[in-house]
Amino acid sequence: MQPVQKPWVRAKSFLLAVGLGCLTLTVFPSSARAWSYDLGLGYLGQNLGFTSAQASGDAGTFGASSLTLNWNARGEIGGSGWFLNPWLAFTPLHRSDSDDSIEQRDWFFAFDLGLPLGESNWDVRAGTGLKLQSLSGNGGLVELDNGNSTSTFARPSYSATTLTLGLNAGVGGALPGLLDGRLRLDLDTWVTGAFSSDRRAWDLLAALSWNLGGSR
Amino acid sequence: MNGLRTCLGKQSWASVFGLWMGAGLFLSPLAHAFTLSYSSALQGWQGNTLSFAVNSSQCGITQAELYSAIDDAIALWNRVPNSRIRLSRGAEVTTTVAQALAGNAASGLPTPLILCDPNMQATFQAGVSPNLDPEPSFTSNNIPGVTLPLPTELTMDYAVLVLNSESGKSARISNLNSTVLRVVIAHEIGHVLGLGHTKDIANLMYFDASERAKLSLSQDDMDGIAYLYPRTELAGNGLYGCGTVQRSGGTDGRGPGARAIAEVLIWIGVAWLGARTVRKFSKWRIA
Repeated sequence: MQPVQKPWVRAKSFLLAVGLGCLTLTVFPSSARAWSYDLGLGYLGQNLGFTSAQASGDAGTFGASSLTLNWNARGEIGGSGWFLNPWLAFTPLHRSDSDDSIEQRDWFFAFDLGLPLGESNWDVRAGTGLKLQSLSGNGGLVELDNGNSTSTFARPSYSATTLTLGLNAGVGGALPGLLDGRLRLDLDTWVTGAFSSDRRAWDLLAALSWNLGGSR
Repeated sequence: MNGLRTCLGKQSWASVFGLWMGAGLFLSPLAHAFTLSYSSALQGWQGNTLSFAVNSSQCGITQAELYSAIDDAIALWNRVPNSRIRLSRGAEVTTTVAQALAGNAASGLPTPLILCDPNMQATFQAGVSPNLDPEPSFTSNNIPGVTLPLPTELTMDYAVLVLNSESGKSARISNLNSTVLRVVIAHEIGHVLGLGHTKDIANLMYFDASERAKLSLSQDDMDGIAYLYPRTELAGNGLYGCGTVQRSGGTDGRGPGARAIAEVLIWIGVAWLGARTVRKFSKWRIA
């Protein structure tokens, strides 16, 4: 049922990834040093302002909400002030219905470039990455209203995974005075379909992280 | 600060984690999931595009009104960012209700098909062999649309979307306001794509559209369509929405994949030059 994956399409994607990597290395020839790592808990709001949350069809402000586990690393690039910031987030508590018939989980993998905001504890970041969503069901049947009576509908029984590229931008920083500055707050927006006027969707990620170590 | 540090000791971190887990339990039930219209293993239509043929005669509204409503309903489903399928409105056809309801994928009839039935109650009460069993208790008074999905095995390959144009019936589509008409068509298109009903009244795929005042999808609707038509952009479904997916019957306004690559590179370059400029002319001191 999946579309035929043409070799040249996979090659195009591979070349895009290699091209972005080469561009990064070209622009920033110095190797990144002084890595530090954070682990945290966060919030994910998907499809902000778009998804229906009420009987009227009106959208909720924060879209579909989930909680996330977050990891990120920051490595300064050769004393330039810029830093590389690969990060990931995923939703360990799947969204599901009361019958637990469907599991939905989301993963975000991103590779950002960041810059500190002057002498403050804050920095801004932007980059690109992948959003992976898995949906799986346990199968079975359910009786639901249908017209003037009820009918039997099927619950999904297999797994499906979507993979979309996205752009993200965020701001974050150590919370001054708290736990020796090892507590960090990050706010990120994630845009899927950034260059498509009809498919563009916005997600919001917020994370409170604990710095595990490093020289930053 | 020492007091604060003490406050956020190990026990407090356990409390933070507990609160986070509790919030998760609070948030998770917001999802009510989706169902499939035919089988637990249904996998939807093959391919990345689907064009709806239309017979706009006997609808009781103008062709332009019907086309506009169909286009808006189609556009709604096309907004799902992680669905690979692209819907479009296809050609005007002359297939009748009886022909369509008796057909299948092998019959050569246009499919999926949207058409109107001015005798809806009689049609469904009598049934249409071999696909539609007689349903003597069927009433079309409050049913504006019915979809008959007729998949072969586990693949959707034939479906008929019948709109109610029966005079004297309150659910006749000419009696619906433009929003509800769009909601009805979008809901039925969900069935054509393979989705079933849901429990949650906030979902487009809830069986009753009477409280609906806005044409929109819920996260469950979006999950359902992404489940049946998962988009994998590293495997040929386009990049950043500009890629290899083509839509039949015209342009979809998206360029080739090369444009997406160029745009990404341009964005990175602009960001880098902008940041360099800011650094040069500002008093930021970089550590």
